[in-house]
Amino acid sequence: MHIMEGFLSLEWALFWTVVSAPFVVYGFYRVRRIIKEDPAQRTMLALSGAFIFVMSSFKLPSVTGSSSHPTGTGFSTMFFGVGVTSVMSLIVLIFQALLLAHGGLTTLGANVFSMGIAGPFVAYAAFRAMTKVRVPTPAKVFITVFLADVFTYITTAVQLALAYGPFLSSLTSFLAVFTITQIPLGIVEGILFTIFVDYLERARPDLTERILPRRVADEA
Amino acid sequence: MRRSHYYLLGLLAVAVLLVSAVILNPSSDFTGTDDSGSDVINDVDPDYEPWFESIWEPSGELQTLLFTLQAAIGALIIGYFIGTNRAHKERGDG
Repeated sequence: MHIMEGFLSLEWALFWTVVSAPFVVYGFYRVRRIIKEDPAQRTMLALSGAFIFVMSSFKLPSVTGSSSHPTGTGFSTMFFGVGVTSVMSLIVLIFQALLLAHGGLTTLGANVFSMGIAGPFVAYAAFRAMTKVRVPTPAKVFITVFLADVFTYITTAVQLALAYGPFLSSLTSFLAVFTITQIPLGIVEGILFTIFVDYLERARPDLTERILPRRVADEA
Repeated sequence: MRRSHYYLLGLLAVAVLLVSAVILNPSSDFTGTDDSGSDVINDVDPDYEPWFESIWEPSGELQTLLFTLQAAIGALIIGYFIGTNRAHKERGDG
């Protein structure tokens, strides 16, 4: 999902920066409040950032013969929503742009939008909907994490197709590169987080119950 | 089935997905999708010239080190969290 340095025209670079900025500003405000007010959520915040650091450093092989980065944003999305996740993504993307020549400063806005906003937004909407219809936690976690990952890459394809038209034919080419490779990696990421959240629910229900209320069967 | 069996099954599925990727593509060098994305840009719009270069690009070995550093920072935090949970549990102060 990293659009390489210099690969978006100045207009598009500015456009995505302006679109992403309000989410990041709101996210910073949320992060500050969480750090000040709620020690339990502080732990979860640290874990959210840690997972994004670990997962997005991996480059995993996919059945398509390409490799790609997972995003690690699903956990943060579930527990804190889009704003906070955009801040976490911004931090890791700056690290990668400056130290790894992955992504770039001119494409930072676009990359924050795909990884920290669009992917998490779709995942968060799905998470809320699944909570409403009482989807069991493991399935809910898996689907949320999978969507946060795959939709990030779909967004990148849309961003590139917008910049390098004609939109529809370009979109097909970019989706072919990004999406199919990403599906197995989204599944991998989904399984790993499902296991971790299950562990967390048992080991530290005090941390998860705000978002994943204890099930009635467990209390009986 | 015990809970730990489900975990093992999940990890096994992860291993199968990653290993099968290598087995099914024996001659592939697993180019990153970021690079393939840039190649597609060149196909779609051969005239496009990137107008800004990375300020600094690490050599291959250095890049590996820095990616490992990134993973280590995250893994350290997660490991610390799991470790303190375990310590609390063993001391019985939940």
